[in-house]
Amino acid sequence: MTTELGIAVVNGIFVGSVYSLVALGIVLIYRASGVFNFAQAEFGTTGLFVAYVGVELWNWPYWLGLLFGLAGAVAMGLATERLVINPLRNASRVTLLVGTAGVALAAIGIQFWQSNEQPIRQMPKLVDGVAFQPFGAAITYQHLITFAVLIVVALALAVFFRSPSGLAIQAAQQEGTAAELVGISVRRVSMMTWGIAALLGGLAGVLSGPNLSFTAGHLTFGAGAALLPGFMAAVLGGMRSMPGALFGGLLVGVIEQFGNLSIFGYMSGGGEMMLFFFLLIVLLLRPQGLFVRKAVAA
Amino acid sequence: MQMRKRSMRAAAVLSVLALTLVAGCGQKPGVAQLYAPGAQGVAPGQPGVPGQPGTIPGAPGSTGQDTVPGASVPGQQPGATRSGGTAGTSGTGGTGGSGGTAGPGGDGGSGPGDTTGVTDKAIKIGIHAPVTGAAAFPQRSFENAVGVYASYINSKGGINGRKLEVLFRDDKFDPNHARAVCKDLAQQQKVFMIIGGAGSDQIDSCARYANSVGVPYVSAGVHETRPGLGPLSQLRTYYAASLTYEQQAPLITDLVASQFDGETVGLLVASNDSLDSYFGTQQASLEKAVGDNLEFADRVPKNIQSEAPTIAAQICNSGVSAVVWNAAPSGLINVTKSMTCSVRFLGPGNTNGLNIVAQGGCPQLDDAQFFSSFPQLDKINKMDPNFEPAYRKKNGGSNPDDIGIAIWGVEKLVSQILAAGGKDLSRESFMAAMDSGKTFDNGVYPQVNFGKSRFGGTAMHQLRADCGSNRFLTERLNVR
Repeated sequence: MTTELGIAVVNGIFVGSVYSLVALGIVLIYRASGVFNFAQAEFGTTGLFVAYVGVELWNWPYWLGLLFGLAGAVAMGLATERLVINPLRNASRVTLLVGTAGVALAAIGIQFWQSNEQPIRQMPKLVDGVAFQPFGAAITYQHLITFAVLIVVALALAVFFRSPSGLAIQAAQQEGTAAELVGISVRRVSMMTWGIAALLGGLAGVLSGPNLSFTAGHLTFGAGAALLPGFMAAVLGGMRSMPGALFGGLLVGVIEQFGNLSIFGYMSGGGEMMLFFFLLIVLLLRPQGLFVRKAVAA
Repeated sequence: MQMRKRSMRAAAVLSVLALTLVAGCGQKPGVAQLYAPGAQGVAPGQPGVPGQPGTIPGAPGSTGQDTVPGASVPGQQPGATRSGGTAGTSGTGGTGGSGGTAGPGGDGGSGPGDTTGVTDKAIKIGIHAPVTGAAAFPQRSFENAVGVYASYINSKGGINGRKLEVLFRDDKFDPNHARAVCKDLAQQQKVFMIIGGAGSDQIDSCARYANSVGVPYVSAGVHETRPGLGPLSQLRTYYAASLTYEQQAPLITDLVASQFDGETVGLLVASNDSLDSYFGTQQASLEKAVGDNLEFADRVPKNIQSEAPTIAAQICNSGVSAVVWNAAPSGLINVTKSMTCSVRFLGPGNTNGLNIVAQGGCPQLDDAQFFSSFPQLDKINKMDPNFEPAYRKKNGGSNPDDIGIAIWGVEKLVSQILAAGGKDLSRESFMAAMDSGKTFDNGVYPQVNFGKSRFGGTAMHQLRADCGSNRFLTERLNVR
């Protein structure tokens, strides 16, 4: 039993690293514009597909393929902001939510269309091999790199939100008109926010993709599904807390793996069922989430 | 008021907590075993199926058995013994024959019956298979494959003078969607009969629907029964054209026993309730053959996602040499990608033996052995020389793939049965041709005979993954 729990914790942390990256993007968008971004995971899948094209189809060097993938994700984020979010800036949040869901579905449709010939794809790992095996759970170098990137990204975001640009994002979200009056370009801030969020999604995609095979919709409902866990992590973190999103993602990963050991484990979605129970308990006890003091109005 | 709110919240929390504990504390059955060694149909023959036993005058096939016209058994090599001779030692292959110029059929029918989908000039049939979803097969493969044999046979004059039309639908690896597409095929497209391409739950769902509306349904063998819904063999219109999973269980056990004597093995089967019967049969068979060396027997989710690393760790930690696997191919690929040890996978077919699985699962899937109702690309040209030219002709010179072989084989088999249904083809005469007890042998699928039951398979081909070429090779033919 100790071995099983150990495997669950280890696998949970590394699966949770991807959830954390997705959750950070969700929280960033929410903090900046109050939008629940349902396209966040698809930024990652799109980045993964673009990186795949660079690395596997065009035989580019791996690092260049990764940059190409991240650029693809950022381009998608910026396009979403320009073509969907900006035109709908005065619409209700529900409309914006539906808009981001539409972006995700459109991206998945394009991925299906483009992957008809070879629906199951694989990306080589950044570094192949197993670093160590606590409890028999294989910790690959790819896992370690993903975790390290998460830590670096979290620290960078913490610094960023104390910088003028970070403060500008918060100012623009809290009072757009006043922010414009003091010289902050809300339009530019919005694009920057969506670009950073898409970059986070792209990192989740290109780093998690090589761990499994991937198909269209990989991070939304495929083998690496991280959208729902990412939202759960963000909610656990209180929707506004970056540290909350980070630790929420790791926690969600571990709880999900525990769920796979439960009596629901043999069912598809057994882990997610445990997650829902856990989330429900947390929200009943702390509606504001685990990492903020006051509840956030949607 | 505040006290009341607190009480309600506390009650709610306790309720959820209790439910969670029930879920969490009840350990998944079988997990411990991974680490602890030792640890609505009308019955056939009833009214509605006239014409039994159908008489199908057939030219004797190369096996000397009573076969239907056109079943000239190309590629039935002398070396490919019925007990599973090694394919590599087979003979030079058959003459190829005409590949089924479906000649005058038998008189299996008993006069006019339900002729939906049949006109003087054409017979319209439908096929469903998973192109999207957890199975994720290339859509282009199915688009290219469907209708290859129909085009071929039509160029030879058709079936008793009628052209064969084939409609294809993606069932999305979803039983509900499968039922919907079969309803569309039956009611909107008004097909004569339906073929189930792959996916046990989808085949089950569509077969039961087809039975409810009297549409004949032919698929590769899957499970035999489903809890609460009864055996597929009791469906009036259902026919399995290859061995069921349960029938393949002893073959798999033989394979395990012969190759892993004294070594530990495991069994992992998807948690679909349709596989309950196979799981029980396979577990009992393995326990009888290898005893305590069956290290674990467990169920895994139908769609393996975040569970993949845990399942992989459990397999590697158990130290088994082989795992009998019957779950979705995408799950197999994801588990193998998470594995750090080398284990031989074995199992029933057909989908896990497709080349797309080898491409995704190699190198960890090297030497995996799966049964299949059709051979792989390395043998098909010897067994049926008409396949590749016909495939290229229909698809502008494209290279054939194994999904093309699968669909070619089943279309060819169904064409033989349609021919045997006679010129006055009806659903009744079609089913009577199958119920007649005659053997259908098309040189791609192992011989099929529905005389004893609706599960008409007699053998399986055995495939082995070759990660050097990232594909499956045909290891043995007609394993019984």
